[in-house]
Amino acid sequence: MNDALIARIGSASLLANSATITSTTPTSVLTLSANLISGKTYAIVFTGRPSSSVAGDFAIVRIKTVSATGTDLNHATIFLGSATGAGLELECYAEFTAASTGAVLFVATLERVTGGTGNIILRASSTGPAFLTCDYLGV
Amino acid sequence: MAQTQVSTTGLVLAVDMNNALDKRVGSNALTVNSVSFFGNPVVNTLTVPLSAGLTYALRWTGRVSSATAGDVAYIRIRPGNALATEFTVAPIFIPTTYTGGFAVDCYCEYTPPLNGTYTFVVTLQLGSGTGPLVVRSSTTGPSTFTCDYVGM
Repeated sequence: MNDALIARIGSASLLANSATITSTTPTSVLTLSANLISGKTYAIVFTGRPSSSVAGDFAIVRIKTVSATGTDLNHATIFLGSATGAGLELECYAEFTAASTGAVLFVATLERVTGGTGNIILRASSTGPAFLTCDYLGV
Repeated sequence: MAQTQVSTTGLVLAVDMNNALDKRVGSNALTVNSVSFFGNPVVNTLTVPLSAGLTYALRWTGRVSSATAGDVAYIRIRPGNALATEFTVAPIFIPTTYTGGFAVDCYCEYTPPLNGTYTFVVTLQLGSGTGPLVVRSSTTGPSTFTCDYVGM
């Protein structure tokens, strides 16, 4: 019964800026291992603030399973119209139905879109964390 | 699934509790791009069974692109059809013609007056600029329209 009442399966937060990213290949910035039940569906949500040192760059956040080279569950693109050091707010939402019972690793990745020239950073601090969460949807 | 009465006998059964606790009422994920358009078309539809007096969260998340840089587009969640008064609107500025589209999230809540089946639609309309617009979706980047019971 208690298990049925729990929606939050797990969360991971980032409290300091990511390393600088200039690659157009997805780079892991947050990981979350969640214990899931076969056949159940879960919402995986990333919330955070990418920035670029050059105004006009694009960045993509992806939610993947297994690793930074794993399968995309979804992705969200943001236009970084200014070089503000605080970054700009971005959310990426995905759903995942577990094929088997056990731990699954979810990975949020960040990349610079081809053509950009800036240093991409996921901005995070103790007063402005980035999150990757996993919630049970009840189905 | 729809929320159910917890008990008809005064006894609280585990199965009833599980039913009452179900959050996800329905969802519709699209995995291919919408057509390219200038009007105010429906880009996603969701039909769900709801219970009177309970509150539900409706959320659309996806990526919108335009063939013209500098356009503004409006995502709206409406009851029934594309002509109905919207529950909410999420404007997005589309700075370039990047064909991956730009992420936008549109959220609202709804408390139905009656038990029954309700249909909700998502529309996309050009607010300023010349378009045309596309909702970008793929198997690895779906757009999703969901209805979740918020537990009150």
